[in-house]
Amino acid sequence: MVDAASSTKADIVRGIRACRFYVYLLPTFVLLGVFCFYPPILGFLGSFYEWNGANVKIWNGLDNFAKMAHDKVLIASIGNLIKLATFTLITSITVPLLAAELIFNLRSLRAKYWYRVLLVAPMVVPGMVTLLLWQFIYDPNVGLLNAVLGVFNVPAQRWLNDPHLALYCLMFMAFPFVGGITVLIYLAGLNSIGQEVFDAAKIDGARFWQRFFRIDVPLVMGQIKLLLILSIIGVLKGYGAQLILTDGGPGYSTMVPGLHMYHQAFEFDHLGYACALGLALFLVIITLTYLSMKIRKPETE
Amino acid sequence: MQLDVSRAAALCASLLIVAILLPMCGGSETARTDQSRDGVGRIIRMVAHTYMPSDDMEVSEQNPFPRGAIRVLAKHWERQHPGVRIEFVRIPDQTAYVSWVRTQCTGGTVAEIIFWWPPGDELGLKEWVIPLDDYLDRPNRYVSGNERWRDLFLPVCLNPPWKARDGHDYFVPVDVFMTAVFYNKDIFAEAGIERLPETWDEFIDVQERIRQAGYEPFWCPEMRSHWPRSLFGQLLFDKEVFEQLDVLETNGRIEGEEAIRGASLGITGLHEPRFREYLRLMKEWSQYWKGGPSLGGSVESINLFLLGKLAMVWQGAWSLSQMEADPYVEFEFGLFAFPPMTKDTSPVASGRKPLINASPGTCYYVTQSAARNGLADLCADWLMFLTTPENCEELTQETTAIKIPPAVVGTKVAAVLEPIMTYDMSLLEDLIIPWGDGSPEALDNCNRLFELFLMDELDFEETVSRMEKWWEIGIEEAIRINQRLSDEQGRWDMAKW
Amino acid sequence: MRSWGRWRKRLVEALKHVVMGTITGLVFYPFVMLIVVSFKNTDQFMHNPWFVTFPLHFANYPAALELLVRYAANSVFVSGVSCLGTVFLAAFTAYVFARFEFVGRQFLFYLIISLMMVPGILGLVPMFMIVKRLGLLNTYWALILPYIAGGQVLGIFLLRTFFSAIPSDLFDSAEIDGAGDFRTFISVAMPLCKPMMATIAIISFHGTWNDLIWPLVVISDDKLKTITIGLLAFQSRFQSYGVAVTQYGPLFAGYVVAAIPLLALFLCASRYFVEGLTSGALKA
Repeated sequence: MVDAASSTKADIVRGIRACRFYVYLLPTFVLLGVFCFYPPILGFLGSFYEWNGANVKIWNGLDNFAKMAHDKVLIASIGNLIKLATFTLITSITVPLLAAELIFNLRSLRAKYWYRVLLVAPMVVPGMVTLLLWQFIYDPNVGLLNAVLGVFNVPAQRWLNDPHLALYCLMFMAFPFVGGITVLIYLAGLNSIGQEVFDAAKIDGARFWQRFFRIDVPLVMGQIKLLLILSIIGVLKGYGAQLILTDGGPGYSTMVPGLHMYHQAFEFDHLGYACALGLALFLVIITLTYLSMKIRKPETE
Repeated sequence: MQLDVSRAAALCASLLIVAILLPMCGGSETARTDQSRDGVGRIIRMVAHTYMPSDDMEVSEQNPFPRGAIRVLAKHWERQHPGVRIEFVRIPDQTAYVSWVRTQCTGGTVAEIIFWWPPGDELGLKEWVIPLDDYLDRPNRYVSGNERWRDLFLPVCLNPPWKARDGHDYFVPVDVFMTAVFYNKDIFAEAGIERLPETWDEFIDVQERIRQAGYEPFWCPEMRSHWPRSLFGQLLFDKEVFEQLDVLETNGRIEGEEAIRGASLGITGLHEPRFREYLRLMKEWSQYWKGGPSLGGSVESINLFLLGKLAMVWQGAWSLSQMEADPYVEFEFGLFAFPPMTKDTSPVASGRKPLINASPGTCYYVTQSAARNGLADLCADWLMFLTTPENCEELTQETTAIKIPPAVVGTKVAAVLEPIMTYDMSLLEDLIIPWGDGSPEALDNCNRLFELFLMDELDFEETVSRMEKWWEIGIEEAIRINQRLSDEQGRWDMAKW
Repeated sequence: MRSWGRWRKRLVEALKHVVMGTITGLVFYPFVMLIVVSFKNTDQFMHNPWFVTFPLHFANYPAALELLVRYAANSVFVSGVSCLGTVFLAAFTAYVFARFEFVGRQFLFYLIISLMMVPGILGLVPMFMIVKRLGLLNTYWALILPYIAGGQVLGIFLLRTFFSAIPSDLFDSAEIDGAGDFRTFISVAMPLCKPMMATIAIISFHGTWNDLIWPLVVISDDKLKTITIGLLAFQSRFQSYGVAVTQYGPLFAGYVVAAIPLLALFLCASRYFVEGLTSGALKA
């Protein structure tokens, strides 16, 4: 097919052949362009306007960004987010890794397989149901948690209605922190460590924890990074539980930037300001993701 | 959020399954086309909303409160009006109803009679519905001795607060929406309370005694709704304040513009003693709320009341029959109204006996379709027929269904409703305490700050100063947004303020 | 001594099972509760929400089915088409990114990945306006096209890592045999990444099946509504006049019905799904 009669012709042909990659990517990029890039770009531009999402769109330069500095709700929500994110990142990275170690070290192959299936199967339960169940668990009057505490004579708490407890209640809703696919991703990482590595460790007489920190953790760093990135993105963008259960309350105690943005956009008709918040959030997420990508495997490299 | 949406739409809830309605004769389609050619349609289509007849009159778990009265009434009426048929329209679904009506009205295909919320400003403004003033001023021929149809209704239903902005009456009410305190008689007896409270102080005292008897007295009112502000609006604000606010259009109702004017001129605001009293009195009351002040996130208060865990609950009167029908309720319960507040409780008390949230409930509007098809008179006649005391009783007090307070004076009501129907219904002004009205953001933040105040997270002075800031922001925003409008769009003439 | 060591090992093994069993039980708990509550009527739920109560109210199910079947059919169609489109397009795009060198490769790839970090609300209103301008409101396409576009991003991210790990000799030899790029992708790459594609298919299906906000925004025609909207209407359907007491029994039966197609897909693909997740390719 390649006709090299003259060198210029060959160059052209090679050039055309190189272009084909872009043609391959065209369908994806058309779709992404229309539905994924264009809308947020419009959103970004919207952050320079006083915009109500409908008939009012007035250029106001950097006012929206200046407003952020004085936005007490935003400042409170950032404080909450830092607590929430720290807790979520730590639990969502470490607990599944320990669970994966447990499964990995089981003898019975059959049991290993079934634990894996059983851990992912509850994914079919809609998120809404899980939220409603937690609402019943935390309910101050008929909730399960107060009933259990009552057995031990601990006074009833108001959980989600208590401004000092509400945020922690939201943190613990991920309990036991191993749901979904995270454990399996770690298990995959452990499986791909060669048996000879473990054998060598055994000969050296390494105890479990030594092996865990010296071999397992560095070798599953790829998985840790993946989950770290996905968790960062998830927790910084997320506000679903707050929206359904607390609406950011009591007061501002469970307010997070995502929910604040939602309120601004859809309840207060301040779409321009919501876009400015979105832009800021995007920059924070992308910076944190970039930093996590930069984490190097210690020692082994 | 979606829970809220569905809850808000709950009023129309049971209407999703709807009937094959009246026995249809074979030639109905041809009949209809013939008639519309003459310009005289003989079918009245009606969105009956609350009174939509059920498919099945069998009481079952899936169909606990079937209704059929309107179908029977329609047959009676049709017998007197040969050749006219009433057809009940199946509406799409809750959330879509509003946009459904709008599109149907725009397209000119809307039913002749529809349900809508009072006072129907939007529908009237767009001329989608016709004014009913003339009809209401005529006698209702189904009621002997009646001179004006409008005299049949409770004053709270067809008076200034519920007149449309242009001064017309666009709807005919069938029932009233009202709230009351439901109380557990057994708990009251056990706490040694022999007499229902007659002043606010007694009301607080009753709660204290219930607590001492080891029961939970009350439940946090819906803090984000206007309920508590409506209650205290009547307990604290008298006619004098109302008249200071209701000046741009003296019509017995505070329009958005008047509220903003009042706030910006300082007639309302947190420096005003009544607002400060509102904060103080609510805080005092809040110590008797089970679960403390909250914005939700708990199982509904009515459940706790039904379980006998709560001595009192503040509910819509329509909940009554549901409670009566509940097999698990093992106690006697009754109703009372919030008592008035005297000067002993607060120097600014109004002394008024509050009637909270009374407003027209199910309201029927006659649409342009009726006028175009020459059916307006017949529609009005049908509505007159529905609003005689006897027929209104059939409708609102149907045995199988939930009993609803009727809008027609002299309607016999079920025994359970009697205590609240003896209330003074002549009270017209209903002042809801203004509360950061300017913008939804200001309102939301005021609610949150108030909540923190009730929870002892903020002290009085800080709460007031932070709320005041939000009021200012709200007013400023409301004015800014409004002043961009053209005069036709309703730009406020601030020179008149 | 030997026998003590064996006992100790067994004890440790048993302990691991106890811990894992507890964790699995906790993870499974919402699932169990979903089923338990779906057989209750309101009174039973109010009095005893946590345990099985008798009589079981099977009638919740026919009621839920009757109301939800047509919405479920819409959802199956929308999620199915979106899922196939997502998987195929994501696999091919990831393959191109992993296999070929071209100018701007890194840049384009990171451009796509950056989409994962854009807060959803930012694009919601503009997206609605675009869909409206394209005349797609109240069509299946208003759901399918954005779902495919959005679902691809994570797919490309995960699959590229997977393809990069496959030795390129495999593809080269196919090309020497005269197969074009696309043929090589179909006959060599796709069979290799079956488990990964199953994984992405399930993640994508799961996401679109449970999406509420977007269908609520773009679909108003009752004939086209998806199951999540159906469930909303369902919540109000079981409320009496003005009484805001959600009847959790029928509602949860509705959720169970809504979870059935997802469960079916999961059972069919669980072998591939688990294999895909444990293939070691999911890392950054």
